[in-house]
Amino acid sequence: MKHRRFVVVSDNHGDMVDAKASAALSAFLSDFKPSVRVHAGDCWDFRNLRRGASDDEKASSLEDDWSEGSEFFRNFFKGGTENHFLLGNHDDRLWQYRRSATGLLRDYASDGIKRVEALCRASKAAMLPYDSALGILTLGKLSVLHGYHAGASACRQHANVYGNCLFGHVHTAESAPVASLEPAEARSIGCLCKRDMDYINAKTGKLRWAQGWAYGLLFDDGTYHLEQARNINGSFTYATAFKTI
Amino acid sequence: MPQRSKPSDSWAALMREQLLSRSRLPVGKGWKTTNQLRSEFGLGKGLMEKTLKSMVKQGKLDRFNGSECAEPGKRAYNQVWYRPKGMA
Repeated sequence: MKHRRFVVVSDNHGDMVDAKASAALSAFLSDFKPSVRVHAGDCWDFRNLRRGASDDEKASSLEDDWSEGSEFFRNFFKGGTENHFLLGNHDDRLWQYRRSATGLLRDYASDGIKRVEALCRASKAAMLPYDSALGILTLGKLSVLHGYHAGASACRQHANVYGNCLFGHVHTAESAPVASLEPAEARSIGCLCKRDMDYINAKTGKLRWAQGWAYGLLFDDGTYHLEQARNINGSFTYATAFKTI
Repeated sequence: MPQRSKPSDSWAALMREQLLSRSRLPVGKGWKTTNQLRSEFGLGKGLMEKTLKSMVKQGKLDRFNGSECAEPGKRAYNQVWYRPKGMA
């Protein structure tokens, strides 16, 4: 059966990207050469723009965050023939400032949004909003989204709402099938950022975080074969060939 | 005041500068707002304010009159912070 190779990544978080995970992804892209590439959101961290950001977060470099996230964006989509970028909740902080009561902030946010749109045009990536209905990409029988639930039951909740799907957002690598007449399994694909971010340091939730991405084959009839690469003791193992019998 | 620019990568530096200029926050550790102290001590608004006023008068607390933005892009509003006297 004819197929296309695909990859889905998420949550590199701008300047909080993990160098080892990013290098492993680059090596994978060179080997696997996926034609369908999906970034499922949180390409930038935008911690300065967070509601209730600490003084340290406000003072951190938005420029570094922007430039590192943009570099990741360009490198990831280079070589893809069907590219998609789904805005995550962190990316969406820039869009929230478009409604700012302060003119200058509104203007700078609009400039930033124009730059994101320009990046998408240059990489031929279609952008979807951070929206639980409009932000869902459909690849045959598989949906891809950034993630709209958090916590230990996030995977199950996504399976209940979206059926077969891949999502980022919670930074874990796990799956949850739910009882359904049609197959309905959600997979959280992990992240590509560091685990030691200020806002999460004292929370045990980060101990569930895993670095990785999803990839596989999309068949012409809409079905798919799915694999997940993840960091195990500092190494990433992935398949480069498949056999259908 | 930062100058308006054409859309370019400079938006990030200008936006950060603007964000930092919007709040006047106390410098140093240990500063808490009335609401933070209320939830910490479980006191009502009136009693908390009365207690704080009296402690400032007695020289037991430092007071800082500043401003902050509660939500992204919203206007800054006046805010008061307190901390024990002599705390660095």
